[in-house]
Amino acid sequence: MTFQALKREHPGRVCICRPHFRDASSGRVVSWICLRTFDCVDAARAALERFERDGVTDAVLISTTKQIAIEGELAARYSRVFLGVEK
Amino acid sequence: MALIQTCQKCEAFLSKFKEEICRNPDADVTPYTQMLAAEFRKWNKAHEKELINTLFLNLYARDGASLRRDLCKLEPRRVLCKLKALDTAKDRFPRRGLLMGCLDHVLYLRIGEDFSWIIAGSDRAIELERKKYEIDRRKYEIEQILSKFKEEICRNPNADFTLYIERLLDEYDGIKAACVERVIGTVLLNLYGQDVSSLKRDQIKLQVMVYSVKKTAIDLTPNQRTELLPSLYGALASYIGEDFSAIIAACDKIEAFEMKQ
Repeated sequence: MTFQALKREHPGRVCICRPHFRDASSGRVVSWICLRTFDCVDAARAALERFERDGVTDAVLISTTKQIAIEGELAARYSRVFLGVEK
Repeated sequence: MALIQTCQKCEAFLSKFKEEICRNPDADVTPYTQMLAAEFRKWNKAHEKELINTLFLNLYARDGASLRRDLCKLEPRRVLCKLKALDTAKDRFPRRGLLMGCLDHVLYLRIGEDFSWIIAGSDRAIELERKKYEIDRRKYEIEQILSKFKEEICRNPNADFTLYIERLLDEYDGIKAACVERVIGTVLLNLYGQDVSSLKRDQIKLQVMVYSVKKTAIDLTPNQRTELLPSLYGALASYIGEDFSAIIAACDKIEAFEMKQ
């Protein structure tokens, strides 16, 4: 689902998403597979760690309302998936 | 949503409407009808998700961890492209009999042995589409109930709500039944297309198998489950899209419950 669809389907939630479609020329992710949604960032971060332990290493957090500060390894992952909305 | 919660929500809604009528006896019913229809739509959506979660969890014999792991690996685009490239329902879902076997318990609980509503009729797809708009179709009935409630409250502000709650619950039950029929109808229609004789044949085979071994569903190996997951996703893709959050949340819930135990 696109970021707009995420906002529509899960307003005000923090979603854990995997890249779905990429724009062929820029490599930027244009569509996401939503794996799980949460009310707060902390719960989403904890779940993301569990997904990593299960071998899902390309998932990222997407907030449908506000930007999330992403640092360290997670930031490297964001740059890999070319997520435009988050920093 | 449990019946008691639905009942409480209807009561809260009628209380709010009563307050409005007491303030203004000429209060318009229409916005309240729309509000209630919107609420019903929300509850219906939750019910639809719950049913879809049950179908997926049944395929995995309620093994939440395995279902979550396999769902995370599933590539929706690849699954849908593969299905689109094939012509017949049998080619698309070659192991549909086995899939039916895993879901049969859910299907039986929800609709019993009566598949006539799926089998009957010349165009089942149109019938399922009609069920999508069941809430809009019932808006007139909802409006009638609220109008009668308004009249009653104007006559006697201390009138009993019970009868009106029951009537609203009846309307909601009808909407819910249509939602179940639509989800299950979509699964069966996608798996079998217009091939009613194969559907009937598989149903009979399943019943013989289930009764002969006295089980409610077929046991699958982990590999068979993984193999059938794309088929179930493909049959329900119109509902799920690329959003697995509700199913994975159900997996997490089961896992958390098991850990507590």
